[in-house]
Amino acid sequence: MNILEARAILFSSIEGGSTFWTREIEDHGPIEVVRKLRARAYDPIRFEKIIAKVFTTEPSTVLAEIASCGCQFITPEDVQWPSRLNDLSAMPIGLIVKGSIDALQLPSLAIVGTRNPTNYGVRVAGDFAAGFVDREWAIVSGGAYGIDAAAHRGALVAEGVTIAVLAAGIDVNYPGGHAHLFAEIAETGALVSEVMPGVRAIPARFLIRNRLIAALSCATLVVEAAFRSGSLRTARDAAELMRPVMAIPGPITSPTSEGCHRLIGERAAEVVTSVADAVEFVASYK
Amino acid sequence: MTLGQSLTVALLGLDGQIVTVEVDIADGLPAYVLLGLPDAALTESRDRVRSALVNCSENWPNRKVTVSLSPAWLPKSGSSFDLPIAIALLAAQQVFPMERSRDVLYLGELALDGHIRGVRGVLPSLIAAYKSGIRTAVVPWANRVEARLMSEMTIIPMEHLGSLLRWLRTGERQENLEMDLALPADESVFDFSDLAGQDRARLAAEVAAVGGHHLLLMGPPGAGKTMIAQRLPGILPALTREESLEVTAIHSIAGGLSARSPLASDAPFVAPHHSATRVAMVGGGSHTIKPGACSLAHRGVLFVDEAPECDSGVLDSLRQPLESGSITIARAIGSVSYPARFLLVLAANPCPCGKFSGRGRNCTCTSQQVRRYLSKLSGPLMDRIDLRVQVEPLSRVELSKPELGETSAAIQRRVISARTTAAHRFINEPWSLNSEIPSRALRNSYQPERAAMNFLHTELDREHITARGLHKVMRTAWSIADLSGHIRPSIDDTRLAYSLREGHGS
Repeated sequence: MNILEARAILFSSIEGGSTFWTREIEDHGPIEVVRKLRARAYDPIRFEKIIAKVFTTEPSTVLAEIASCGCQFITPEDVQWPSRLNDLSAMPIGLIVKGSIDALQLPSLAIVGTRNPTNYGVRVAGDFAAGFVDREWAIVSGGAYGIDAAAHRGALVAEGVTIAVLAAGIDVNYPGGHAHLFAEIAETGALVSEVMPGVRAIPARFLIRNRLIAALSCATLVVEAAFRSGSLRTARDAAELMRPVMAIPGPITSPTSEGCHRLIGERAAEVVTSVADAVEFVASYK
Repeated sequence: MTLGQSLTVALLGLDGQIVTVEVDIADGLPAYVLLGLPDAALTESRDRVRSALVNCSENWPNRKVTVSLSPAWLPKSGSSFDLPIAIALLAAQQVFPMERSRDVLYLGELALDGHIRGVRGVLPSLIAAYKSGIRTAVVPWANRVEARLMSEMTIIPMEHLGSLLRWLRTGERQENLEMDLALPADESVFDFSDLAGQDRARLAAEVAAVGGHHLLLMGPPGAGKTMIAQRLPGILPALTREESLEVTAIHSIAGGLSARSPLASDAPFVAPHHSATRVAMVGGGSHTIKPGACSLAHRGVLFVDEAPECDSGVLDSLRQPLESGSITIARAIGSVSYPARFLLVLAANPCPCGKFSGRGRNCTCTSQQVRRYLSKLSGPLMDRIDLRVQVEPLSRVELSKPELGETSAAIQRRVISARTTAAHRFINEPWSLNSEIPSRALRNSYQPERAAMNFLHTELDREHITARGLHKVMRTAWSIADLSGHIRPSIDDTRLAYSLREGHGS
């Protein structure tokens, strides 16, 4: 068994976002961790499912499954591994990528926000996406309805590169209405997933996925967010990684701007009101 | 052989067909046969007629009675046949001379003591009779005001079978006082002066009234959406005589006319509950096809409150009338069309719990729920909505202002003036409202100013609106131009129309 095969086994058995396993793999290396799992050296009750999976998983099956979706499996050992991800305390074991792996290396801006934006938010997300694409940046987002979709579309319209980090398997197309959008994104950009093909999206996976958006990009912009929006989580993840976080203000009478105002009020995000502002802020951030 | 005859009307929708009631009394065992596809209420007429006749001291023949309602292929329904059947039966017994009864229309239900009860659909029945050349009609006393709307006919309202028979025998009847059809000035309960603030919503209501543009009001509960919708009919122009007759005929069939002033002179306001079924909304029924809310709102306002709570099939059924201005309902007994040209007002909360507004901190809905709720309003129905307004709760300052808002009368004057301008413009066209301008005409003859079109085309290029949306904005811009007194929509008129369609901004 080589490193790639060990990582394949671990990737398909362990859910992302676990600092425990990240540390184990860092300390002992993936091959050793697999060996230890198979030797039942870990808590059999707490990790029952993982141990069972590790026993029954054949790396060649995993790799073949990924390849059959037209995707590639990259690991931290690869030259093409995006180094920005290494800042995460819960680094991914590997990533499935459909499309251009080189796109992941580009300087990129994450644009996130509510799934129920107003026309204002949709327009601003699209404009900022296009603005940064004009400056040769890529746009990273989650492929969800609302601000995410507006950002992806804004980038595509400006003939730029956009990356969608998905919460489900790379072939699952969640949400269903974006099947066509994902196909378009994969043409010039990339789709990224931290779970095996066929795995469904569940609420917990969205939060896990959000940290990837924050880590993969150089900076994060929250366009519109309600008081309890998941995109606020992404902003905090980015702040924890010492990345620049920006937010767009809106009318104080609009509930879809309340989350952005919260971030700004708590000094967790910088107010930006134009693409130029945002570019300047990111450039000066140290 | 003794044969008696009388004339009446069977209604299918708004259309009436003359029915000849023939009664034959022949030798044989006592029997009663009713022919001509009667429904349940009609079949029961035998006992009502019998009691009424006996209680008026008339004879019920103890022989074989055959009643035929001709034409035989047309299904007949309702209780309005009681009176004509009674008259035909009495005619067969030669109880009165035939001269007065010839070519007279009879309508009415009989009470067991001989009183003649009111029925629905009197006006459309009389219209049908008039078209067939009948000029005299006996109607129930309760329907006399409605019937007198047919001023070209001789209307004989009767209260009791006894008095009717006296008239047939002797020509005497109680002379009725001339009905004064001039109705009292309608003290409208709802006035825009009741509404404080809400300038944008008022503007949208005014524009909607000018051009016939459909309107969506969005906002938290209690902000005033219902108030605004209720006051919209009050700023529409009063109905013309023809429109009045149309609306009265529809309401007559539905049974919704008030006895005192049946002539509908104001635009109707119909607000079905969001649990209304499809049949309640567009009309239908198994034996008689009754008009639905859409038709009752003809020439007026149809207000669908809590629109996302409606069944999507019900919302969908609005598309046919919105597109064509009428509803056609096909049943086994026949196909019926009712007119349904109305101004649609939809109201919606921002989310299922209603609290997603302001800072939105009390909202308990997940983003999935909000999305699903609002998506009930998406698609072809929303495409027909030209104006979208956020109705927010009033601020303390607005609520405490001592001055009343502008009155409905003042707004109505502007609406009428703007509509007149439009009517002049469309004098050679088959349409009269801005919302009715076809797309081709918009492009060829009714374009806003150059600067305005450039603005719209830029938005089109940026994919902020579709081509259909662009045309809708142009129509709304015309209504705003008519209100502003501009010959053609200016860039400002167009920007306002655009922002009203998009629903944001203030």
